[in-house]
This record gives sequence, structure tokens and C-alpha cells, in this order.
Amino acid sequence: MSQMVSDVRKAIEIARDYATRSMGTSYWQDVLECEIDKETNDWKVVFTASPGLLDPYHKYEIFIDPKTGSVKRARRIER
Amino acid sequence: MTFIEPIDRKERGRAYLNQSLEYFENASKAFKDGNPEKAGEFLWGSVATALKALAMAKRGIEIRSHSQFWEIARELTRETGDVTIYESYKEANSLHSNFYDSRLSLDDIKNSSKKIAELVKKLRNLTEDAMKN
Repeated sequence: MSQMVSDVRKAIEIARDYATRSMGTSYWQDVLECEIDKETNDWKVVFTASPGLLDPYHKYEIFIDPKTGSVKRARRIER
Repeated sequence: MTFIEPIDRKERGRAYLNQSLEYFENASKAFKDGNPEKAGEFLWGSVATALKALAMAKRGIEIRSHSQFWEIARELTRETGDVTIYESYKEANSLHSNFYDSRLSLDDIKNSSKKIAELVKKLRNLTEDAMKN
């Protein structure tokens, strides 16, 4: 469902939901950055999370279209 | 979800570990008293609190439901590749059921207790590692 993303809270909520469902990160730790990216004009959420109970935390980034709320890009950026 | 500071996680993890050991010792006393149901229930309690210790120390998670114990046991087995974790967990859970059904003999429970002692030791080591970091 398409949804405008006008604030940080909503962007984080979308990122967290996507990370859990599609990136296999069961354990969310912290949000490191959440802002509109100057190059893409998308919401950029950088966070740490872990895929398993015993795994270490890794750094991830997710880009969200502010007009639709859809995730455009998501990846782990640090081991 | 409530955020639990890392220092509090360690304290709570330590408290659960101590409780787990106490339950294990109580199981030994119940064996001596010839009470298989009580011994089994204490063994289950020892496993359950050891899992609570690990989830708390590692991730600050408070296990609040029986289904969460199953999830964590499966997850640990998947992550470590050690299938005895899940097998021993299932055995501990059957001892918990036995508290209400009284199907198992003292010898049955004594046989399970060896595997459960190993499981509790593994969980304790994982928790101790988590508390070092």
C-alpha cells in the first residue's frame, strides 16, 4: 500500500519492518542515521541489527521512497 | 519493546544463571528423595532459566511465553549446528509435562538428566561469553 513518509518515525518503522521480513535481521539494535539523502532524495536509514541470537550486530542501510513508502534499496554495509 | 541497558542485561543474565544452577541442585535433591516428578520439573526449570539467561545477556530479551523457549532452542540449534541442543531441550520439555502426567520413572528421568546437564552447561558457557562482551 502506498504511503507518504513525512517523518523520521515512519521511515524507521518501514525500515525495521522491511529488515525483519526481508533481510532476516531478527534482532534490531539501534538507528545510527535517519535523514533525507541529498543525492537521491530518498529516506536513508542506517541501523545495526543481527540475523541471529549468537551473531554479532552488523550495519545496514535502507533507502525508502518518501512519496510511496516503498523500499528502493537495502543492503548490509559492514560485517 | 522495553530497552534494557547492556549492564542490566548482564546482571539479569547472571541472576537467571544462578537460578538455573539452583534448580539443577534441587533436582539432585529430589532424586535422592525419590521424587521423579519434582526432579523432572527442576531439570526443566534449570533449562528454562538458562535459556532466559542467554536471551537476556545476549539480546536483552525477556522470554515470556512457552513458545518463545521453543523458538530460541530451534534458533540456537540452527546457528550452532549442534542438534543435541534441540533434542535435549525437547527432553527437558517432556519432563515438564511429566510433572502433570507422572508417566516417567525415576530411572527415565535420571537418564534424561545427563543430557540436560550437558545442555545447561552449553547454555551457561554461551551466556558467560555474552557477558564478557
